Amino acid sequence: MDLSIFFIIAIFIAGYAAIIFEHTIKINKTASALIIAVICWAIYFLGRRAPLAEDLSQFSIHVSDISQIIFFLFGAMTLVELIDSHKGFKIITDIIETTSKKKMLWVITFLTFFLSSVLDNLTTTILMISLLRKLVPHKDERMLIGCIVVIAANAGGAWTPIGDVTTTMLWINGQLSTTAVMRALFIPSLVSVMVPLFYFSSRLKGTYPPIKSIKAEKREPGSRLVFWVGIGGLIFVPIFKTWTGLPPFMGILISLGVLWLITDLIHRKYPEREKLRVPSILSRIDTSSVLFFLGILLAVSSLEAAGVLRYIAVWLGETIGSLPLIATAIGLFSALIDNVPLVAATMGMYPLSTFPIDAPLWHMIAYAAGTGGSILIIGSASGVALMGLEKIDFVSYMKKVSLPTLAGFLAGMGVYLLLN
Amino acid sequence: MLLVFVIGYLAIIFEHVVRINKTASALFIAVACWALFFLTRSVPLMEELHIFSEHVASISQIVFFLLGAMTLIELVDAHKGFRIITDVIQTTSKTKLLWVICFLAFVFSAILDNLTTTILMISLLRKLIPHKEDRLLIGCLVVVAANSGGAFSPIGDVTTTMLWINGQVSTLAVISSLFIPSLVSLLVPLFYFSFVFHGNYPVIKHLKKEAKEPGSTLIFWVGMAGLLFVPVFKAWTGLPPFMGVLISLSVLWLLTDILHEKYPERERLRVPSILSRIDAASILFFLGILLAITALETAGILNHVALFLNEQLPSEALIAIAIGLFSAIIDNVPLVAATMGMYPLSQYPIDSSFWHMIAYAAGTGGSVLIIGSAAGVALMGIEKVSFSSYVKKMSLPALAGFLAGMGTYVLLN
Repeated sequence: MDLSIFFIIAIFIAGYAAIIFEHTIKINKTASALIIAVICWAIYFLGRRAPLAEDLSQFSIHVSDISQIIFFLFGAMTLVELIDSHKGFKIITDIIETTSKKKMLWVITFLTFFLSSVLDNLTTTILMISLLRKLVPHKDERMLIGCIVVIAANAGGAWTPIGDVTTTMLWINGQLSTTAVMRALFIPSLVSVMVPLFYFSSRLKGTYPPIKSIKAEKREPGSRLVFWVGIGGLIFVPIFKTWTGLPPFMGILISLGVLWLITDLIHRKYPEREKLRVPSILSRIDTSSVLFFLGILLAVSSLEAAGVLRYIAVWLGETIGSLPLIATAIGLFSALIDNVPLVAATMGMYPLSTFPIDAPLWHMIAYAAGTGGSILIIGSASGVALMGLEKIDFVSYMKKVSLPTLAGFLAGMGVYLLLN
Repeated sequence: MLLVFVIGYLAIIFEHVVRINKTASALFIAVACWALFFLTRSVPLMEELHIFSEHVASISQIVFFLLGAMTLIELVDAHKGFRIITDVIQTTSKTKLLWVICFLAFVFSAILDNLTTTILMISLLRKLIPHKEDRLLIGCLVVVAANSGGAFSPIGDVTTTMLWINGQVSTLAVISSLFIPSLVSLLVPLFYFSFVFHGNYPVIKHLKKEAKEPGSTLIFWVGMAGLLFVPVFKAWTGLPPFMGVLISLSVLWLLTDILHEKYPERERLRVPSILSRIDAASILFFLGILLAITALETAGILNHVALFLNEQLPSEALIAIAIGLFSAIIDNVPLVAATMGMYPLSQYPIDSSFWHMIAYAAGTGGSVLIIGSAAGVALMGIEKVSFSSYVKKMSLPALAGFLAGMGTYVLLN
């Protein structure tokens, strides 16, 4: 390991600490994330041995992957915000009549779990959080339920090939087949949600204050149309991807374009409805959380480019003998670092010739990378989204959620081993 | 695919008639063109995805650069940092003010982007000259100056930035070869109008009273240094410019966080609230239009156009002039994006005179009509200057300046 790699790791850890303790040092986490991203890459470029053109082409591959996630996020957030400002979610919130905390927890968790098996985790989380804001107006009461949305979204994504980026990667690369992974991982994934769900529901008591204000709230003109087209647009994304082969963010962008067109047509004659049109919606999008993503993903990719992640993977393989333990370790790691490079690294480490399609190792890795990320708030894209949208900090997530989630993760892994 | 593109493009040009936001049309044609390309593919999917992701990488770098730079400038503006410049302007003579404003716009726009320069100079003009009629001509000249000033520096204009990021021009070469032509293209209309202008503007006092926000001097200088740092950072590390803008932005973010952390009433001066004022629709417009052009490029349509232009126009200078005049009618970002796709770097290497002429023509040619540049459209919106009054007063002098500048370039090289 040469000096530049050492510096990259040091800067990364210092920056990561600044992000974790955002509330203590009072520096916005996006600023820290962007700074570590640029500095880590700058060190990598300055300490290079390969020619600049080669470095740049490697960098641009990372930028391309990252920007696709960023554009996806931006599009999905705008789409959901557009539905929300038309009060389209009243269609769902009108159905959820309960005010019992316990019932609400179950309803929301199951809704998230199944939604996220079709939609990706990030969209599901954004969608469910905007729903929750309607149903539970008090931020403090929403916190726990928001955290379990993240757990349910990650678990729900793990068992379907289209529900989660890492499972999708393994599926596209031919490590998994559709029906086999669904059959093998459905019960473990469900178990990993049920454990924290039972724990939290035993602790939640009483009812939320009845929310008359939303029931009385009138829907905006065209809310039904915008709601159905918007939801249709989200469901269209995986269809568009399989149909054309284009990456998901293109699907989101065309759905957004269509919805933009529709709202322009509906509202163009009414100047007082300016607030319902996309330009004013865009000004309400939380751009700093989008930039936070950019920074974090860039920073992690610099570690990957410098080979730090590869060292860890090799070390892991040499130190731990048994496959379930390796998968568990990968799950725990995915709580710390992005699970996409992690799974990419394992795909490179274990050849398909030794571990053929649908070998238990691949199932375990799909499960572990998908659900292990819930243990820390920074471990998954949905967790980071929750951090940005609901201003939940690292420490309070760790205190309240990490242990039950870890128990769920291990229980699910145990169930998988028992069933096979 | 060409059909979808042309229809979409018409919808963008006649945005005000069809009343569909141009960003919606741009996103739509972008995805539709790529989907058509992918559905009618002849090579394996993996290969196509690889080409697509290369395009996405270069497009997203432009988009992130724009986002970072716009935020940085908005941050300085919110702190009223630009008062440091406005305080210096003391004159009330019409001719003097004309020259001062134009040179300020020219120099500013070499560092800042044209749109920001124009918006800034116009809001400044409003304070210096309260009467709208008096302001009309000088406002039009600001647009010319902003476009000319942007053309010669890699960070001053989106199109020059595009060429620079993509490696068609290098910092020093483009500045040294385009500075004089750009200046000429401004001086021609400026001399013409300074003969028309006489007398004094009424004296203004209230501007001087507007208070600066806390930390405005610091933010102004750090912001300017941050923008100047971008090319330095690129030369030093080899990383693309958007990384430089991002680190400058985050340093400024850190600074404002430290500065304002103790005062809850200064929330509006901090970056999250500045970000909500950024025009995200125009950023998405860029994304859409660039994606659409790359689809045409990948499908090989742009090669046909280039061949046609090459066959019809014998010299590179004429091609560049044609592009300049085109850029007065259509948006110059897709135009330059198209040119970049049409002429490979293998044929015209970095800093070949062709790319310099393109940078000059696309940057200054847009001044000939008010709809030809983002700065002109901003003038149209803010000052309600109509298309025809710009044509009557400004188009001919601007055209003369454009051609004179091009002539100067050809003479010098």
